[in-house]
Amino acid sequence: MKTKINIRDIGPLLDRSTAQLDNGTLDKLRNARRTALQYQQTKQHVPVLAWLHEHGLIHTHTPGRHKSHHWGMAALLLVILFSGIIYWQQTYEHDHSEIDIAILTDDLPVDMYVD
Amino acid sequence: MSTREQLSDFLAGIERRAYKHAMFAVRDEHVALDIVQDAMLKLAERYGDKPAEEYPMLFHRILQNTILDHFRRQKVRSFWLSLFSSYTPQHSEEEFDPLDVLEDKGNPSQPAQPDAALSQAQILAVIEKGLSHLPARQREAFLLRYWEQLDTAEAAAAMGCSEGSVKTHCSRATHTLAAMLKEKGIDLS
Repeated sequence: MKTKINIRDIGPLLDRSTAQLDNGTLDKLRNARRTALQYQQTKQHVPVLAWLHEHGLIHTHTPGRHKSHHWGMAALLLVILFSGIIYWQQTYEHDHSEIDIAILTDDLPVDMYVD
Repeated sequence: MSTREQLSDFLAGIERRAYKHAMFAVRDEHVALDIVQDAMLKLAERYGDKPAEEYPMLFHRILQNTILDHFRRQKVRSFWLSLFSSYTPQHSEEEFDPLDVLEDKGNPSQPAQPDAALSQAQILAVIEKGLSHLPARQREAFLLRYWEQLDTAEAAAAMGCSEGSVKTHCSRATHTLAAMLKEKGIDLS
């Protein structure tokens, strides 16, 4: 006697076979799933970098374990920004004090009156 | 962006089938478990923030790539092994005994003949054996279409090929499987 099956019956048959997996295998699969979930990538937007990323100035692919790199880069950018501001302020003040001294000593160059 | 619960639900729903996919390919329980674990890790680590709808295609792509990686590593390993073992004596005459495979039709303890009615467990065993003997791409296409219920476009995306290729692989797999099953007394329609 020939046994007949439809190709669409193969899926349910295979499903039935997965229900027969032994407990040891199921435990290992469960552990594998739990381990994988610990490494799930979740995007955390660092405000400074978000703008750069939106404008295509940086392209980053960050696995979950390297999120600290983002914060490090953000901190570095902030330090550079503050250093720039402080340097500009100091240079500006220095120029002003030189002009003040020149006015007091009557050494102001003629160029200063041109504008 | 999907949540941890969505990823957990997806993995819980697919882990058994993924294990069977890997088993059909590598036929080794420990290796199959390692492959599934690697695939889960890669999905979570690299694509954990993707929408949950993209998980099935991504996961199957990763799973198949991990299986391929395993075979590549195995090929390299066996190359070096064969290189070193070529100096050891061969005993091929001890490996095959014709009496082991000789059919004894008069013996009632012989396995059931193809024309005997088969139980569902036997049918399943025959199907699983047939699937594990299919070429990798044919098996992949067949399982994605008829087990994972992906449509042709989704299966093509998961396999990284055209829809036409999926149809071709699927058709060949069905014919090969039908021929294998027919030998065991099962008609696939």
